[in-house]
Amino acid sequence: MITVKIQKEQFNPQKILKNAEKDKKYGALVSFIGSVREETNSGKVKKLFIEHYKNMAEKIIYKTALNAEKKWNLDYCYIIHRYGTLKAGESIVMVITCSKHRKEAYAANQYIIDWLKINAPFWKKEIFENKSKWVKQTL
Amino acid sequence: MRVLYFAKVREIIGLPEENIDLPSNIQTVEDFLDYLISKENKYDLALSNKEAIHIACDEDHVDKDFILKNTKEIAIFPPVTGG
Repeated sequence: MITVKIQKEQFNPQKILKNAEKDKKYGALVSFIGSVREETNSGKVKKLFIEHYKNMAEKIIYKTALNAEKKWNLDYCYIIHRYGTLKAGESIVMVITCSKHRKEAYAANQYIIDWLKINAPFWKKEIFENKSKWVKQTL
Repeated sequence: MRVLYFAKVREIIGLPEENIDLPSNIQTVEDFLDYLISKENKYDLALSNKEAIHIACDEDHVDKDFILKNTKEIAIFPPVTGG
């Protein structure tokens, strides 16, 4: 089962995790959360602005999840990504992958987040006290 | 053709999107970028470093030699930074 969500609102990782754990047919669950860092090389981050290309982002994330599901025989895959203005410390993205064994769940989780980072159309802009800066791609 | 701009490209061009009739001599994404660059200074500023510009046509990533013939929507943007 694949769920993809792209939303402006904050999400509650504990609630999402609890929901994923309801179904116990899989033996392994791996969860990744990416958050807004409070400090970068450029200074103390006040806010993070995330711009996105809605339709394409949904399409790419879903396709990525589908590929992962097929390749690692996942039982469950949940991906949520935010856009808009986020505060330091808030969660940006969460990826949950579940399979019968841990190796598959780990590999699929890493594949999804890595693929998303270089393909999903989101752009981050860090906002500091007196300046702002578009984030450069890191692989 | 609907043309979308994102992030820094959007900021420099000063528009999130516009409609542009594709001139008949333009075939590829590369031709289209050159056409925009020659059109106005703001496009030149935003797009002249073509290595740093990525393109999606009808919501799929494409290379610069992609033929635009049936494209309805082209998105022009810097490398993505999600996740």
